[in-house]
Amino acid sequence: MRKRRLLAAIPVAFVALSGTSIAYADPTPPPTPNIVGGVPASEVYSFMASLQSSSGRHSCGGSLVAASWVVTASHCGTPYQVRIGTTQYNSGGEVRRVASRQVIGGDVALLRLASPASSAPVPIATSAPVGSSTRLIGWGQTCPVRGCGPAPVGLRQLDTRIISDGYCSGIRASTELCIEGGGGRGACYGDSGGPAVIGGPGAWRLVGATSRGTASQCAVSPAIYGDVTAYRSRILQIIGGGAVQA
Amino acid sequence: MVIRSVLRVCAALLLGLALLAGTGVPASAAPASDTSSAVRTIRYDASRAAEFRAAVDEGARIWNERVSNVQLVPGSPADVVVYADNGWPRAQVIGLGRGTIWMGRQAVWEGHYTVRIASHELGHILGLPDRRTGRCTDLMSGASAGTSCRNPNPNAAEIAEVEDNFQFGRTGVAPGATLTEAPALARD
Repeated sequence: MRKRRLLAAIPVAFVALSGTSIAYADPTPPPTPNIVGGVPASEVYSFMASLQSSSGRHSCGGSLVAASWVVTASHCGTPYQVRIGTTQYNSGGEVRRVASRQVIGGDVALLRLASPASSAPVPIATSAPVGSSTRLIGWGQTCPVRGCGPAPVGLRQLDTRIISDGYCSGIRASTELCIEGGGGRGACYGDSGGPAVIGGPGAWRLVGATSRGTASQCAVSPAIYGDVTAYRSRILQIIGGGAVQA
Repeated sequence: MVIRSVLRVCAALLLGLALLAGTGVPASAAPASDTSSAVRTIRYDASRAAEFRAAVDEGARIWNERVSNVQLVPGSPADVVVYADNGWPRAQVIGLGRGTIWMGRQAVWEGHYTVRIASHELGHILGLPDRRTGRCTDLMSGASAGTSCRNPNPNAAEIAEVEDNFQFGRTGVAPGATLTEAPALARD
């Protein structure tokens, strides 16, 4: 038993030591081309934000909800900067330094920008009913195993829907949304903090912020999103008159 | 297959060296006459950990074998209470050496190894934060190392960090924090 355990740990240990980016010696399933299973962004989302280090490395997504405020996930921490309103996380749009962060509740946080952005923010929806169609947008990895590939430079999107909380194990039902995923479609590592929106071009409204999967591997099961609509009045109170009306 | 065997043998040697280094360093680094006479004893209660009780005991044994400034013993009143539930494994750390652990079945259903989960969660109690490196040689990489990782042992650096935590009364985990293995979708 002991010997077997030791042996099982070994290929990974060796690969890690040899410093390659291959996760395992075993063959990995062919990567699906897209968030996972999505398509390239069909428009420039003016409110879409990439949370970045000082070197411009993408870590999480976010949504501009007022000139100086970005909604993201609490677990994304405080990034150095955000790039807003572009489909390429390393070019275009506008870059703003982050001044401070405030946790709103659960896995939802607000970033205050050091100077206001000029991109158009997204209104926060008043509710997020089960059954609604929703679009996920992000620069998360496009293959389902953690670390299997880099963040795509081009923004991706995936149309899915809000399903009942019962499908998402570990969900906090009153302040989180369960978003359908599986069958090779779903949010993945790098999508955290980024938006789930309802509506359509020119009339998008924010309902969710990507939080976590319900399995370690992406796109095999639903994902959990912070319900931004549940915190709507609290957020509007903080961001004040800078908000746009839903 | 031949390559894999070779890899395994090479890595076994490396891992063996790492383990030797891990157990050797703290013992030889501790001077006989310093303040380390005060070994901290942490009592844990695994009686509510259901089917994970043996895994928790094994996790405690693994730590006890490797550190000298702190020892985990079953007992009450407990500093650490361990529960089982259907969520993701997680630990709420009240302070260094005190807190609550949930052995979450969600990770076990996925195929994660119960003893690794137990020693990882105990690592939080001993003041180690999550470091999702994806490396199986790290204990605190947790679920990021994948289900094929069945290494329940802290590496030399993690062992040294725990020794320091208890020697100098410091911790890498904010008091009151809950550390969960639920797969947050940020990029590390």
